[in-house]
Amino acid sequence: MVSRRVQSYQNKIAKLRAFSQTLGLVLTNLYYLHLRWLPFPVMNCYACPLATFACPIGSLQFAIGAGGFFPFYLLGIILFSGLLFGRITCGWLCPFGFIQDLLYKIPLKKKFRLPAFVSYGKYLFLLVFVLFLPILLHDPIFCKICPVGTMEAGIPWPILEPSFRALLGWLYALKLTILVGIVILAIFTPRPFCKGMCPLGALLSFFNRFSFLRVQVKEEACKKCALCAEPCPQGLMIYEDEGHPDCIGCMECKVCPAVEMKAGIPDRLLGGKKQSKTERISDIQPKL
Amino acid sequence: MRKSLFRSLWFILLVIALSIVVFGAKRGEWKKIKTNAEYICTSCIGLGK
Repeated sequence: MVSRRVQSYQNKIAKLRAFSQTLGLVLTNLYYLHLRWLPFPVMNCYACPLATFACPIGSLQFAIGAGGFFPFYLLGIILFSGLLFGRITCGWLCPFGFIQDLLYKIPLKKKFRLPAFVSYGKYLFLLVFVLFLPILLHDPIFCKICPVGTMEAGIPWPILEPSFRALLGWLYALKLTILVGIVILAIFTPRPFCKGMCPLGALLSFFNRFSFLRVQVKEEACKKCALCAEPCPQGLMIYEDEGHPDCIGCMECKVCPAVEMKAGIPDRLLGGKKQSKTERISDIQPKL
Repeated sequence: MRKSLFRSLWFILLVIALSIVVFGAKRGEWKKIKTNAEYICTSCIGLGK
């Protein structure tokens, strides 16, 4: 049972988040700000004709691959952002996350959650496609399969630049297939890219347990009723593991008054308990 | 005691993060990142057979 006060508070948070996500979408597409020297910690492709910032994942692959230098500057920015916000930037600023949220709002009856093991996929993409293969082949391999790049650069550039059309081949077909797959999945399940594929989410997830801004549960108020789990896009029971690596800080769990967004220097490592398969409510019908 | 130690560690980590950013910036990494970001990334578009 959700009280009216909590519901109105939740509505305010939802509106604030929608505004913040729209701001993120606009901010990452203001080409004339010329901030491509700054890797902004959300998934935004720098090959997009309107891109404001550098893509942190593309820049990382370039640095350790073809660039041949250790990316102190970039890793410092990721560390700084992670310490302050953890994965909250995913839930509140990431333009691709926002697009997936909008797709999930398409009202269809057959909504489902991806199984819990899918969330390990992002670590695999980070290790293999962002770190190992670019070092080995001196090529940004993740960019070749990245659906964000396909949407922000792969679609607009061949329209804007006719000479590119002759260069489209199997790689383009592969990228387009991945994007279409993610788009279709996002209609039926919340944030499939963030859950199973995003290497930036994998990097930032390590900071969820000790970030300045974080989701916490008031122990004395929590009745462990799993009310928070139903609207959670990642299918988490946040009281079982505060600071879970998959939590994107979207505050959909604010249906429960025991959950709060806390700001301040952390004084302990949050959570740490592993969620069992039953605790990750993959089988509960997600809320529209 | 334990709480203040954790807070201090966190703060040190934040200072380290900022120092790394400054160190990298002084080495001119931001210019390399900018130059790379200003090229049209063919992998991102999916060009090539």
